[in-house]
Amino acid sequence: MAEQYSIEINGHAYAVNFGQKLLDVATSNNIFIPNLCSHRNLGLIKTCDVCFVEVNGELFRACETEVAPGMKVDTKSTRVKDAQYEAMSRILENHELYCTVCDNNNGNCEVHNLARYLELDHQKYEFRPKPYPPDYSHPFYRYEPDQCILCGRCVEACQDLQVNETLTIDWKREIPRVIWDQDVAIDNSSCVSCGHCVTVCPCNALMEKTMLGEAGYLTGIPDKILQPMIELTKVVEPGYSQIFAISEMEAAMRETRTKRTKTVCIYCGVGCSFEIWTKGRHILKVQPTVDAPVNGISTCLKGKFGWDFVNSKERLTKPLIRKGDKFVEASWEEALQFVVTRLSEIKDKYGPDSIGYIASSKCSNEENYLFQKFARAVMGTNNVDNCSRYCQSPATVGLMRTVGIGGDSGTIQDIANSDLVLVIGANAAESHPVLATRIKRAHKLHGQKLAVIDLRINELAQRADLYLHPQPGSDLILLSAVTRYILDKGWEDKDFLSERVNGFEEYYKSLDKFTIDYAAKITRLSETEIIKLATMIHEAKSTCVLWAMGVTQHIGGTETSTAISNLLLVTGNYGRPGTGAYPLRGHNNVQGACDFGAVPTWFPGYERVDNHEVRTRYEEAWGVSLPTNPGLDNHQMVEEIQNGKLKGLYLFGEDMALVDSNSNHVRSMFEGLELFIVQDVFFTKTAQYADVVFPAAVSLEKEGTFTNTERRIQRFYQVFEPMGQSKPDWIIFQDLANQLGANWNYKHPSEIMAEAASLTPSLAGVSYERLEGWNSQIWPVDINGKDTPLLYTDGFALADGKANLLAVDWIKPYDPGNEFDLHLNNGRLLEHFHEGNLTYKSKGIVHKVPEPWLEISYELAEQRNISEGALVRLVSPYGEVKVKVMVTNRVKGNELYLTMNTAEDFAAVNHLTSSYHDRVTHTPNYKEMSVRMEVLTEEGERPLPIVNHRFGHPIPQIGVKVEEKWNRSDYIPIPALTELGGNEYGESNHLH
Amino acid sequence: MAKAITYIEHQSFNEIDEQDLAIAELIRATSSNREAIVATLDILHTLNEIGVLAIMQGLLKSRTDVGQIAIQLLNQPNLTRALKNGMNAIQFLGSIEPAKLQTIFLGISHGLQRAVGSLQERKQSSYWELGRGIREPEVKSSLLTILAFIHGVGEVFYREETKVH
Repeated sequence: MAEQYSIEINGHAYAVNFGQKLLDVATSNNIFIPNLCSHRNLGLIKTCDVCFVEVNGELFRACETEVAPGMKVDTKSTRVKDAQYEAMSRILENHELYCTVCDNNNGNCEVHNLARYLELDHQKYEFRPKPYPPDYSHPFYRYEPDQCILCGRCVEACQDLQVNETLTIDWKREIPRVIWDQDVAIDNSSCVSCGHCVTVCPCNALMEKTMLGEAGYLTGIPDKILQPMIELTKVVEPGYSQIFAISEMEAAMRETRTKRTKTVCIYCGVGCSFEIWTKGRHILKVQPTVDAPVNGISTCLKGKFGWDFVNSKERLTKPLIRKGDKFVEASWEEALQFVVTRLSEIKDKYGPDSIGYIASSKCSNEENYLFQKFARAVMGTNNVDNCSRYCQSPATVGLMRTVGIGGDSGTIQDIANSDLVLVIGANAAESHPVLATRIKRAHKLHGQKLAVIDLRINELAQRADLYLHPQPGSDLILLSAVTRYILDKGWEDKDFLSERVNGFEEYYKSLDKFTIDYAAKITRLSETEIIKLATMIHEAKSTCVLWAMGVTQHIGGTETSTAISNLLLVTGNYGRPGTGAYPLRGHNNVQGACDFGAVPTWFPGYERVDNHEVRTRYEEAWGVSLPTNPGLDNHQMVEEIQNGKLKGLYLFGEDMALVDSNSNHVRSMFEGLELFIVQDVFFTKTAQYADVVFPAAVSLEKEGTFTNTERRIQRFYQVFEPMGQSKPDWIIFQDLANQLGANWNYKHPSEIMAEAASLTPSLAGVSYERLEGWNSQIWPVDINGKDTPLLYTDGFALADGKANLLAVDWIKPYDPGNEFDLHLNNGRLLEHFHEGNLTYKSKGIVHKVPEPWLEISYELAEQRNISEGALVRLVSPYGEVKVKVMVTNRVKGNELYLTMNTAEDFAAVNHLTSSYHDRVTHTPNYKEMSVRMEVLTEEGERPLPIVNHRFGHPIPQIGVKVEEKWNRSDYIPIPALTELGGNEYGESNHLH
Repeated sequence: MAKAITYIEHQSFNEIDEQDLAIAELIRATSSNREAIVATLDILHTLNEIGVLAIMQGLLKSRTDVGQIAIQLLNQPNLTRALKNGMNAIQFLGSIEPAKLQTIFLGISHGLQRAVGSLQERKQSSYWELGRGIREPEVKSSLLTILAFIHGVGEVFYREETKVH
């Protein structure tokens, strides 16, 4: 326990912990000490100087002063007030107060609020514009140097929280400013548009472009009137208090118009939550807050800026029915009636198992629950699955069979606090950007070790202490050899193994063949590299392993996931803070779709459908008899269409025609369906094959919950009404079920959650009341609402509370033959989500990344005599694509990387992938393909524009380098000034 | 066999449907606010008759240019001074405590009465009487008050003169 003692603040005693900072002590005891640069999510900055207080009679910054026993603090003395006044005056020399006509005047402008608090009535130092024009070059935000108070929050956020290392303050020039890279236009810099800087800016220096001219009542005034108006205000203003009064009235008026709604991001599985500010349907901005349990103020560019799709003109707003060779708009009554008739006909004719149901990992828990209930209780089949089949099912199974729960073992906090993070086959910096920031930060600032196993030198690989590039598909051998080496060296956690793990002997025998020598031969890594990894794991007090599609999308995906879990068990890396297995979930609710039962073998909470006792519970609750056998998964459904057994398919929120592997085959299967119902927000590639298309509402148009990769359930709230005649998915299911005689009567998603919680032991205590606002619950949640951020502290979720070590063997990856000489890897990228059906609706994102590209190595480019921009055709046994080339050192030798951000048939990677799949879970082996490359043109226009962050030149440094500010000849430390008194400082007038 | 199709036939009557819905909505709103709307129409009618609407229309349509001219006009030194003086005057009035001002007003009022009385009497006053009068507590108090007032004014004058800009 931390050492405790007491200090005195303004004559009162307060208990403090050793090492606490004075500002934090004051804040937690509701004593306000002015501050501007400090921020709960950021490190110490020390630039603003407004937090000076008297400590034992001397002036110190409260933000950096550590408490000490017997310390006497005065936060209100005249000297303190004088110091704060001086500091604030210096700030206002850099910032013009024209609050009423400022888009940041929303009650949360920290500069405004502090000037008001300090009762500053006049500018002590005259406002001095900076000799730099505003930078509007970036599509999403602008920098106005004249308003920048040089607090350096943006720099700290960029350097040490996002760790993109783009922003610095150039303290050396006569009038300092924030610069991007080596002082280039923002758009041309290494900026990844994550928005951290804009979010933490305490004033209007950095602002979202969507706010400009929109947020205030007077801010839309044309510049030629606005500027003279500001001048006029400055001339006639009697003092700031009147200005503040008017601006606060205006801010209060804005509150009635600007709606702030908490939401949860709909992109990846990290589960960022934030407020979304709207004016009517116009999205003013995304405003993250320190209260968000996963991300705090962090976002990536998609979460912060990628919401244009919501109001896209391409949204589906009316039901469509296929009539001949066209779709015709229909009323809801007509479309529902059509579906009811056709579903009933097919069910009667071919039986309930002739229809498949594909749920959506983009939609809410309640919607997935209701959809599986619809399939099981109304339509009588377990043929229900979701897109985790395409990504993380192998990880789920690998974990369920070793430790019992198919989810992350801990939270993002555990990853941040771990001694060693091992990332295998995951590009977290692009696919899970906010989660990656926590690793980058811990690695940069807190000595965390980072090891990366990947084919590509992605961003985390570049930063890693150890980067291993094994032969594609050989991870299991590498991991097993590392485990065996650890055992051979006697580095295993013996107590952990004997007390908490079953099956050691048999498992140990299975490692016989995985010698370092054998591993080196197959993986083509050096023995030293493999031993280095084993040693790093041994030396770390805690290890987290993170993995994703690079592991799972293989024939042996489940086996490799199991090998990861085995390694963690042998080294005792479960059940303690900072340890565990983290299969990073790709979609916002891929975890929840599985948790809430949209899986052919499981009811909600992973209880088997063929378990009599469990089934009886559901039959009693739902008042129906339920099918007894597990249903078909996605892959089997497609197979059964081919076999003529599956006649109907109902799919929502999933573009299967693009994202399933071997697209050409899948599409030809769709053509064989008698009834295909597609429900989506856009007219997707899949919808083109539909008989009926239902228009669905987006997350901002409904309420619900999502479950992120940590197993954390979070609520999102309705912002505005559904567009056109689109409806929330759960309402569509209910309407349809009722037309089929179900008699459901859910009035709000909370009622669906209550039902799910009442039936699912692991969700027993989940409720909307407990999830109110920024609250969240991490399942398992007991009936009293106690949740479980860290799993396995008391035991594993298996029969006897012990984990299983499970022998696994390597399965050689699929090889299409010598003719296909180049290995094809593929995946997401930062800017577009998945194939991009949402992100391509954002002009700003398209400006940064207009199209997909193929990464090839310098060696290959030279060998084939092609340069960047060359157009090539890739041919696999399953299809072909045409793409432009980027030459990069991210890939080596004969390995290619094709980005998946396209819905265009000529470039979509799944025209190349096969129908082979993971042996256990049927997840397609997307990552096992080789191709032949034909050069169509040897050069051409580069597919990635120069304004992309990948061409930038970051300037890594720790923080804002405030020492450089202090070393400037014109900087006079405030304590020195207050000690001088007289004309240099104080009651008199100021010489400067 | 359901081949992929991309052609969506948007029903042409939908637009008309939407118009109908909008009109129905308007009629509903109009009938429930009949009195207010009729009164407003009357006001509009009058404004139109006297040409105010035309002026407003002109102003609104050329709002940017007119606004610029207006702001330029306001930005003239005389006007900004007037504005500032106006605000200062309001501030001045606001800064005086009513009770104190009332005492002074009462004093002035009473003093006026006595002064008027003294004028009416037209009595010849000697220097002796003047000297004696100064020693009277009422006169002394009044003179000290005036002295303090002058002192205060002087303080501010001095401070403003030595201010460094």
